[in-house]
Amino acid sequence: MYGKDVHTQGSFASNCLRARRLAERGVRFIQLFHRGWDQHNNLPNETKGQTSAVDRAQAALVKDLKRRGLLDDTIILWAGEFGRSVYSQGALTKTNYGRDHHPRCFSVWLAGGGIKPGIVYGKTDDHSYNIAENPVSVHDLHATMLHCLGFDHKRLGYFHQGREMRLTDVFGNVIKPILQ
Amino acid sequence: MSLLLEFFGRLHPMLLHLPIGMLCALGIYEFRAWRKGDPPAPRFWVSLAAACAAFAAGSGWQLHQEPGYVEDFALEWHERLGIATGLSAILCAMLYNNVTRYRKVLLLSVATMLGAGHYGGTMTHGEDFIFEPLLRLAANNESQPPASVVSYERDIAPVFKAKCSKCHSASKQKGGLRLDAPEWILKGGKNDGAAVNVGHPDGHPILERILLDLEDEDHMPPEGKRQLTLEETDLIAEWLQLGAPFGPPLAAADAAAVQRLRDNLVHVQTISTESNKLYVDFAATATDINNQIVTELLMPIKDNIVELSLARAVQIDDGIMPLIAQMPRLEILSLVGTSITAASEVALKEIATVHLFDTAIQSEQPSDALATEILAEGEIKLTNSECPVTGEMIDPKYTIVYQGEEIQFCCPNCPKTFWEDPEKYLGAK
Repeated sequence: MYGKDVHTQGSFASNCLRARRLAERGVRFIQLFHRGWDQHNNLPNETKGQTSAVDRAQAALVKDLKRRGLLDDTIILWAGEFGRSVYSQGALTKTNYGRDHHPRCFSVWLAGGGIKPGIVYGKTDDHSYNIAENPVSVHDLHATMLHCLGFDHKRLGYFHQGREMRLTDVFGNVIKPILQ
Repeated sequence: MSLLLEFFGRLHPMLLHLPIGMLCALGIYEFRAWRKGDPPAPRFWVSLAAACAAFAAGSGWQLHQEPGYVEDFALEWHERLGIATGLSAILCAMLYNNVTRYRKVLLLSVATMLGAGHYGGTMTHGEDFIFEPLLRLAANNESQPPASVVSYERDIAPVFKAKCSKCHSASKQKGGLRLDAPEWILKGGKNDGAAVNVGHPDGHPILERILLDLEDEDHMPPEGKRQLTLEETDLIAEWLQLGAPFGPPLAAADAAAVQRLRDNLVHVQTISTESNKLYVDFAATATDINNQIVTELLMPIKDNIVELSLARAVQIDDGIMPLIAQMPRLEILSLVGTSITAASEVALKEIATVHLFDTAIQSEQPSDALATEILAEGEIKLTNSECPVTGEMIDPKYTIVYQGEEIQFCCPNCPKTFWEDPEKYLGAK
């Protein structure tokens, strides 16, 4: 189900299976890393390996949690810290080119616990350079996830450096359209 | 002139204390004089008391002409007895020459004055203002155990009855609202709809009105009516915070039983800090538990359990069903990977959500094609050992799926060539 890589210790597929087992045993927060997405060059070759390593495993994790009844109260967030440019970096040949960092707009996906499945929210312009509609900031994302966890991000505070602080500072709006 | 009259009316709260003091003093003086056979009090003091009583009654009557007073029992009788006091006090002064009659009327005057004073006090301070601390003391002495969870029946309904029922019950429905039974509260009034937001901690129209400033015209109870005490407001707010439950409150689970579960490495927690409902998960010891152990551990807290996970407990089988049947509040049950059989299927239908993956009970076929594809693990087989295009060593990086078969290539360009005429290259393989 997770693909044959699941038998290789440390592979992403193996980690996804491990994540399911941890979730099954009540672990509250699980973080999986997958490195090697920084293709400033040699993108066409490396991306294939990267995507084939995660594609099946991540789908399997969602399915596996779902059939065990764990997806109802588990949020899966797949995200990196920035996107990559739609235009090339370095020499552009058929078999070799790269893409630079592009933090202005990029996508993440969410599944499970209260998130509406099968929808796309927000849009970039035709060149994938700027956000065209429905921008979601990191604080919005956090506010939405806290909402799914049962917290009002405007009320949840912690005492830090002499005053009550919010996890979303003074920002963040719950993105209602992506909730079930 | 009307402004002067208004000023005169506003003097009422000050003037009213004069006849109270004077009539009481006269009463005591005359009672003592009557017993001893002394002459009555000097005419001057009687006349002064009568004048004060008349002014107090007159100013009160004038004050009532101002808008903003809600007619009720206390106001009505305060006014009647107040005017009676004023008139009887004047009568006292007129009958001064006939000592016996004067004293009789004075007695009447003092009596009506006490009555008027009582209802006046009720209007400004509320009922039982004086005795309320003593009543509280008496209630405390009854050594009731402190109630941990607010109950509609015990805590809320009496408050609604005392403070709201005059305008919101069978006899009268201001704004179309009744607060004397759960079904009416849920039905609500014509302005706000349902008075409470059942199942939610906030968004209760009734609380918004209670918390508005007294001066606000939407504030409830209305200005001039008996207001809720701070304790009553807190109680109502606490009850609404719980989602306005009308049923009897669920008592907290037996602490010793919960501790015994935790000692056995079972995860137990309330589903929220305000609730006594429990979530129980046997994840840590799943492979070691059996029907008997679980039954023994859970029996004392069966009423509190709303969510239970016995996932991966292979020793659990149909023998667990008698215990499950005794959990009245169970909503979510996970039997993933247990030895439960189809014999229990009917009984499990009672529970809102049951997870049965990896058990003998088969759910319906997976609905979507993707699920079928992924579930059928191992169906996609690697079919080639060398690149079908070039015949060179294959690299897992360059893999495609063709007709349910995985095909690998030596380089990123070969798949393109392959797709142009798959049959040609497959034949060459």
